[in-house]
Amino acid sequence: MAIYFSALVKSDSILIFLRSIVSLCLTFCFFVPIAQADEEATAEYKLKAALLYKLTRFVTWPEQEVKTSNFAICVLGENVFADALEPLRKREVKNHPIEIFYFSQSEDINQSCQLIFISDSKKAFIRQIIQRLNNEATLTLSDSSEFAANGGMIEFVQGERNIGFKINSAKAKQAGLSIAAPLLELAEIVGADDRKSLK
Amino acid sequence: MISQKTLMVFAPLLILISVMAEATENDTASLDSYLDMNIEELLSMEVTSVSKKKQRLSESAAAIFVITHDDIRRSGVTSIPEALRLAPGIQVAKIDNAKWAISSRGFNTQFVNKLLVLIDGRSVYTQSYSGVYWEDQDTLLEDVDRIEVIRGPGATLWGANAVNGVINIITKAASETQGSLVQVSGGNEERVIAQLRHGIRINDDVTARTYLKYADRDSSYAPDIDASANDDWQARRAGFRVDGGIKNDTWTVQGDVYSNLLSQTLDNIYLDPSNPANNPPDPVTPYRLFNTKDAINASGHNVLGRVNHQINSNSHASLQVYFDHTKRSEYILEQEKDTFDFDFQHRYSGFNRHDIVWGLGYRRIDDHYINSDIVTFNDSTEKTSSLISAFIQDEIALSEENLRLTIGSKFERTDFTGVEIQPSVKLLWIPAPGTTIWGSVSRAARTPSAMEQRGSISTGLLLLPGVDPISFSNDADGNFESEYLTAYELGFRIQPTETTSLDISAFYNDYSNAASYEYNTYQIVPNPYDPAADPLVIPSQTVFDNKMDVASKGVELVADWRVVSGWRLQSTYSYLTVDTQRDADSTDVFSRVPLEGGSPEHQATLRSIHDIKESMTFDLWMQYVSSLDSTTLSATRDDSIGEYTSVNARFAWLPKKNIELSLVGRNLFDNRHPEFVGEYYILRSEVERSLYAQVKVEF
Repeated sequence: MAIYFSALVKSDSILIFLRSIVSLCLTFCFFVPIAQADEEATAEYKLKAALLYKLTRFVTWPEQEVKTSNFAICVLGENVFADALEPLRKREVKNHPIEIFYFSQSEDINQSCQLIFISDSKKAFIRQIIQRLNNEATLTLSDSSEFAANGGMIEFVQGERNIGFKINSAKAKQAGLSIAAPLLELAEIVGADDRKSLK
Repeated sequence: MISQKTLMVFAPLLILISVMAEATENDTASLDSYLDMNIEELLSMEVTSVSKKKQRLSESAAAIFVITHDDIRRSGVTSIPEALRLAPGIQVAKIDNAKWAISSRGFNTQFVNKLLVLIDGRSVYTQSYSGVYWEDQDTLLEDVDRIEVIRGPGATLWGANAVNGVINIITKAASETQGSLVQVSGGNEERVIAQLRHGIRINDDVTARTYLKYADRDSSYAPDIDASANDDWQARRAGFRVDGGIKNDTWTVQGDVYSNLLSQTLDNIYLDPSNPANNPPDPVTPYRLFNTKDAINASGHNVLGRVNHQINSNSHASLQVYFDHTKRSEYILEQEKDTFDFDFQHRYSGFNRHDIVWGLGYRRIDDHYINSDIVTFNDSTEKTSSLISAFIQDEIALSEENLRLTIGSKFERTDFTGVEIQPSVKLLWIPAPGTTIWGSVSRAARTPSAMEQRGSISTGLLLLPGVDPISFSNDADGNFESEYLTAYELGFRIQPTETTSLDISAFYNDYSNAASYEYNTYQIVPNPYDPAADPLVIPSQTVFDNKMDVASKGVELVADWRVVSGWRLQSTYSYLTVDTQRDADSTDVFSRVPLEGGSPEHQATLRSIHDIKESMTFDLWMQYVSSLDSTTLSATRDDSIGEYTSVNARFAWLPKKNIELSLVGRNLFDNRHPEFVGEYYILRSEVERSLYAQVKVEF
């Protein structure tokens, strides 16, 4: 509740309103729990939100991209984070205040995103979306399976008990992004040719 | 037992207290604790991906349509039954101002018994005659997260009487409805609707909300008397919800209380000639009541609690208990019902490639009826019945998750019937991401209602000169059995592009042991017009029996197209035909006609959802329903309904981010039209054009 309150007091309340319209799943995938209502952000997505924030420290964006004063984090597809990303609005990445945008369709992206998280709901169109982002210096993230093998840069992977990630460093390099060694060491490096049979 | 009045007074006090006690605490504590850790610590944290266990709608082997919160808001509907018009395969027809005939895939009547309706897991289907009193099911539509409409037998997993479909109304979590909301609307038909809601965060883990709603609706038009149908109604309602959670465990407690005053105009009621109160009879209309205003008092309260516990990454359990009390009194019947329901479910995915769900349920219903001349319950007007159920379902991943076989069965035992076994087999194939092909075969049972077990309805009266009046009735003789359905379904979903999608379902339903009305008793009276002739043999009593087979088939289609950013088109189409076949020894002459003619052969909708700019929206919604040959069991009433097209529009403007002004028009190009005729005792009425304006403020 306090999130809504403090947000309404600030001037980015338009975004809260937009977000509440956009985040209603207008894509075609919904979750069907057994006769339950939606829950607020799960532990899983709070953890992924924290990881998302932390790994920006290990990534360097090309100089010319830093002309905008804000760091834009975009979520494309179903908003699996619920309200987990909202607290990040108070924080910064490399001295740029964070802005968060939610888009349900890639045509709607009217914003230059430094980081984009693509939901599993977009699974059928991952290749097209990555294609569209080819000329952008945008860090692409997802927890959809085979994301890194399909050209995504960072993929969250569910292990037996914990979360890990796969990095397609070649793809990141292509976009002009450099990923620091300490992060690469924590991840499984994947190349575009490591694709298994596509489903 | 807290009286309704106390609760109605308490609710606004609760809102007042929570407004005063509100604290603007910092809610980032939860994410902050994660952000305090470094990456290595985060990567070694134990967390279960619950999302994997939930099933994608597009990947389910059933004909599902989800009416989203946005669909409800943008369509301008003001009640749950009206929102159901958005779904394909569902027939929604207004009988009078506060009564709806709503069914899925046929069998629509005023008393629909093949559709299970749940609100947050609580069944609102009434056992007395089988059906739902839709006017008593309501909540703040702003707080509805979605309505899942599943056509076809949901027997395995859902429960008793989910034969033709399941409607699952799910409200938002309390954490999603924080702050205050005031919504007031006024119009010509929806005279006043005032809604108030307040949500607070009690602490890091617990959120809550309360609401109040008042609605006053104008009467509709009665063509038979060319005047108002005198069916206006007022509804008052209040409720609350509290949600809490620790890590992956969540719990919720919610409840509502309501009190509705409805009116209806009784027509053609047959009075009991043996009752001294009805004698001497009216000389013009002996033993009959026409055009008489009747007040219906309906009230109730309910409390529901549910706990979800994540045992480990492969195991999840859920326990739900609810208590529901309803009371309704009108001329033809007074009834009071107390329901206690207990439901346990467990999901286990520890076996490789198997996702098993199983559950146990117990429901106890205490019924109390006060009989009238028209409706009586024999044996005992107070009865306790219980229902025990169990189900198990296994979803097996054959070949790499692309092919899934689901087999399961529900077992149900009621006091009246033995154990009903309701198995189903489903196959789902995902040839490419976003494309699904599925098929299923299921069996479902519809158990007898209280009326069919021990009820009696007076259906007519014959007055012959010199002879005692002969009453006609339809009675239960204790032999009514469950109806059975074997359903064969097929479906196909595809997303040709990122902005388009198509969903097609087809079905063939084979019903056996379907309800019929068989002649049972005959009165032999001397012919009053010609005493020398043979005596007249008049069938005066029919009984509920099961000598009918019904086969229905149909197709439902949903197409979605996001034309440009901010403009979306959606179209639905449903086709349905019903054929009946009496058993060789059946004497039923009533059922066939409304069964075959009570559902429209074609239904279609087209919606345009347009964001003109960020602060202005315009939505258009057109609906076509083809004609109905007959909607009641009566052989003499004119109960056919012509086809109609309804055009609805909504315009909304947001002068500020948290203020919305809207104007909604329904049936814009149509002065009025009938949609359904109720069973004989109600005056026919027609749905009129309506317009309302609404202000919504959030703060």
